[in-house]
Amino acid sequence: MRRSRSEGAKTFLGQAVARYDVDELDDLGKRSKREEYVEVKRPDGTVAKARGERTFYGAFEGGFSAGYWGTVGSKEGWEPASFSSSRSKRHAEAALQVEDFMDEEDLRDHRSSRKTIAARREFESAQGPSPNSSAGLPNGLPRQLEAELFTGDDRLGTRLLRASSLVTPFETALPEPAIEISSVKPKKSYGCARPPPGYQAPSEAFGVEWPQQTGKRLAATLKNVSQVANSSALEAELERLWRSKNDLHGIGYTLGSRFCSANSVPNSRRLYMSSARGKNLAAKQGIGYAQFGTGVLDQDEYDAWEEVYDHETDKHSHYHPSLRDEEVEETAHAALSDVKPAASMPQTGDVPGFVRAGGQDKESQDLRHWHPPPVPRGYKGVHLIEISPLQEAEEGSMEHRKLMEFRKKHGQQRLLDPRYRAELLGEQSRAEPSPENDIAAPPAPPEADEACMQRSAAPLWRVPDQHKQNLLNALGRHFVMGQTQDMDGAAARHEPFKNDPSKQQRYAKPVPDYRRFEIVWASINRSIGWTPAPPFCLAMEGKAAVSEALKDSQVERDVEFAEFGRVYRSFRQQHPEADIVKALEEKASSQAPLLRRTAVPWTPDKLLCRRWGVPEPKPGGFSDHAPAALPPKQKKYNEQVKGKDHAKASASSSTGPSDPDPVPHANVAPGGELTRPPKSLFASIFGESEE
Amino acid sequence: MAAAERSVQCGLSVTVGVEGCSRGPGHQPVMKLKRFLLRYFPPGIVLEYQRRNGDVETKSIDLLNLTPETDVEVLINQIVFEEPLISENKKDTLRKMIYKLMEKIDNKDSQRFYLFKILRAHILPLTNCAFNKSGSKFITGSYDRTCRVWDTLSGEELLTLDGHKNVVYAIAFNNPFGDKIVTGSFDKTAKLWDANTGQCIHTLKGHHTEIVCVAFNVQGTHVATGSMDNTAKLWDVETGHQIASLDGHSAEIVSLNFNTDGDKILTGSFDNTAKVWDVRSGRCVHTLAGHRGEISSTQFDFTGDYCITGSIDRTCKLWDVNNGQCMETMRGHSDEVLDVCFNTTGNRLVTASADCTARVYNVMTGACISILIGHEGEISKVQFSPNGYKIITASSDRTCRLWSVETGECLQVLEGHSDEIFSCAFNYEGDTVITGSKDNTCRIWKDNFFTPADEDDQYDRYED
Repeated sequence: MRRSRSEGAKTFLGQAVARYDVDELDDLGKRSKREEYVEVKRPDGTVAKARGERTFYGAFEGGFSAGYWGTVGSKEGWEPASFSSSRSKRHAEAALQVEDFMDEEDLRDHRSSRKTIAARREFESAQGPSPNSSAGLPNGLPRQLEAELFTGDDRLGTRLLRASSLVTPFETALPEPAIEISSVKPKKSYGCARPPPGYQAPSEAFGVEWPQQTGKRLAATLKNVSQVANSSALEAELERLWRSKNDLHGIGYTLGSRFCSANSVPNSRRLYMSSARGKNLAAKQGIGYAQFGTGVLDQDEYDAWEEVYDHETDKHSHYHPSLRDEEVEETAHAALSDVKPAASMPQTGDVPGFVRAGGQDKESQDLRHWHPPPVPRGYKGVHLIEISPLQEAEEGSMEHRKLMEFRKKHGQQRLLDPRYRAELLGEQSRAEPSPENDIAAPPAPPEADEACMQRSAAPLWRVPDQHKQNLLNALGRHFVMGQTQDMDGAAARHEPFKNDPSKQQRYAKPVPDYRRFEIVWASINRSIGWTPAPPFCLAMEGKAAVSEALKDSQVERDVEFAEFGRVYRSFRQQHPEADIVKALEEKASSQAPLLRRTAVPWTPDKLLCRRWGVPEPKPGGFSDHAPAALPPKQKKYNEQVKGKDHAKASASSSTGPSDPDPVPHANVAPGGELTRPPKSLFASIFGESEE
Repeated sequence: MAAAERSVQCGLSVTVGVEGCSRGPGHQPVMKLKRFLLRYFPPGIVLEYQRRNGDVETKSIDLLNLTPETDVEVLINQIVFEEPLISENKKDTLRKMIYKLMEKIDNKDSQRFYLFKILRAHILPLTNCAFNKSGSKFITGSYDRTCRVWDTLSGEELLTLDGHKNVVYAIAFNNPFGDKIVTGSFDKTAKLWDANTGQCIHTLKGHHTEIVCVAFNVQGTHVATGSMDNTAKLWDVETGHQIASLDGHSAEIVSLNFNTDGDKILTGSFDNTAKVWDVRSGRCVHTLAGHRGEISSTQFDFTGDYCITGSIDRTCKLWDVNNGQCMETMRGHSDEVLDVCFNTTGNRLVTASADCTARVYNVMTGACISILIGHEGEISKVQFSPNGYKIITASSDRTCRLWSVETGECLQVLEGHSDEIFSCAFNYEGDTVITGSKDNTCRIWKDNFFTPADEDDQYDRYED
């Protein structure tokens, strides 16, 4: 059963997953068993054996590490290392800390901030004996803050939160403030501060909204100078805790929470990581960034998201006012104080910290005119995509209204026709159309106002598609679409002189050629049947003229060599003088080379043949590896041996006719032919087998 | 030329150990045969003869391709035809000897070894162990700076060769004589010892760093030492003087061998090459370059015509010594080759690797015959049994294993050491195995049919 299950798992899941990655093993300081060895280094620093296998440690240095004359000790004697067990301390297990609920990145940030978050003892004691008592809400708020927030609150949001937390929040009033808090501070520790002395527990009767109460509290805090720093630190800490995760690291970011910072950005100006994301949005699938799955958005140690959206003008626009910086809070408090408490009194069911949609929500109004802050230098990998007009129209934007009007006026067909794009988008022609252009313009459209709009766009669309494409290519930009988007910014990486456009242009196209430019310009005009716009050209001066000229020289090049592609161009760069046409013709006329296979049969080495008396595969005395000078010598030697054997054979046959069994001779038989050695020889060479 | 060699059919080769030996057909030989000596491994017949001037010399007829299936009559006729020292009337003796050799070769008893003795005299791990030719004694080198001489039969410690100031890393008997021992140490010196008295005859000083390999030539006249200072040095046994310094390697020398004739030295180095040196001139004859990793082990075959190098590039290569060309590259290991070994006749070789396997190759064809799978640690040392039917491997998994060469099956696991085994050796008879381990002990393993050797020498004597 177990076997079949494991087999099934193997086929299903592929290779078994190791518990630790190789890098993790290194981090943990673990090594596989096979790698447990002592490296022996030579005097020059290299390892004695290439892979550092086990060798005698220190043997080659004249020493030996096995101890002192076979003992485990030294000359002075053996002393065991001291060791104290931690067994007796096991009961002192630390309670769960805020850090225990942080993921890796948060923990890293937290550690780098060099702050310690801990519940103070007096709060600990105030809470119940539950082991979870020091733990806060699931989002990391300490229990004490929870109590402070929701004391005596019976609204719907509170109840929801209460239901979601494992422990019921405190219904009772907060404990008495302790006097010695600020005086005894052996360690700089930040925690959920106790309420300031002037603070009064909120009650349902007052019905004060929580942000206002915070303002009160802050005001009270400000009275006590010694606690100012502490309070601001507290606020910062609170904000950090309250803020949803917005650095877009890792998996499962924000779990699609409606409170996440990313979603407070208007849909039309959303950051997308991929075109698939945009599609999802168009199909109204998945709003939250939980759909990101795995991905890291930042680069080079700084957080792109933070850089883009935590701009000063819009900082914390998506946060609740209570979580803003102090001065902001002050202003908010001042603004709120003007409003009557009754007006801002939350109705039943509201959750403190969240405003109603219909209220005076500045952020919700501003978002429509929200502009993204300048993109940081070197930023890449995130693309700003305008959402499709239809999609946006459903959300009631200005463009939508325009679009609906247009559709109402001209119908669906014209909406989709690219010729009416200028009208739809309200574009104006850039240059005054010349009379030639008017003549060259297409037949007048049915409506007069359309005709005047078409005039500006007409010449462009008359260019054949191929030429248009060439033109686009010649502009030197990469128009990537859909899946071919340059997500990792590979193209941008190869543009040096980012800060100096003139240098950049020179780098990209090093040879400006004005005459060539003119010729090319004329040829292009001829080829595309477009007689334009000398004014356009004439208007260009200086650098602009140079850059345009460069672009168009490239147009010519692309037109000429389009069919050869990039490979040809690179080849051309390296071999400017090569006659490509001729080479291509030759290649076309010549036949493809025939593939030949040479098989050389294995033959034993000559020396080995001699050793075992096997006939040499190449009896001419040739050996695979023998030097060239050898054959004549070898031949002579063979002849001598042969001659001797001949003489001996004749002598023995004449002198000893009684010998019936002439001994088989060495390699060469009297006739000069190679004889096959007896079977026993093969047996002796190849063992018992008959082969 | 010291040895004139003719190879003939059946692999019979005659080696003459003297100069000026000439023969003419139909003439009375100028030399008189005194006696036959029989050499079992590799099979061969040694002729002891007296020259006209009274000098007694030997020459050998190597029967490297002798098998139990060999046609004896054909072989005898060929020997008589080719060897003037052997006349027609010696045919019966010759036949008797050849049958004896075949009987010895055919002895494939699958005897099992048992632990005979544990030798605990060393107080630090062993580095190496080696038998003398007869197997009556063996020596062990250790990190405790001593070399000890042991009696194989009783397991007694005969001598302690004390005098080195650091690890004794390389040791060797002057086989086949067995009366001298050379030890190479990390104290940069080598020492020559009398194997019977334990006296230090010479201390060979000259290396700048540790000595890691030593070897006697077969004639017993020279000692070679290889060192981490990238050089090998050649020493005269009688005087203890340095004869030559073999300079040329650019990295440590880790392996060193003489060929059978004693006129060439093969050194393997961490500079990825092996070199063949001429003993007389001390010059490098060939550089065997081709490996892409450090050389771990080298060996000449018995004939000295070719040699093998194992490398940590996971291959071993077969080289033609005469022209320095690579004849074959044996591949298949998935980790470094740590040791290589020919069998006594030179038609098989085995490679030990860090991938926990050893592989047996046919030298002639370069084909892998069998893979010895079973060890759980890297195999640091491998050796053929003298008759070539078995292989013993020493591994870091604390065991030695005996293997069948042809089938590749594991015949026996020698368990007992409590730490990895660095060295192992068969004796000449093939009935005793010694293993040296990091656990400071050496163990003697003997087979069930062990009977004390009744021969003083490795040769049977047939008096003429």
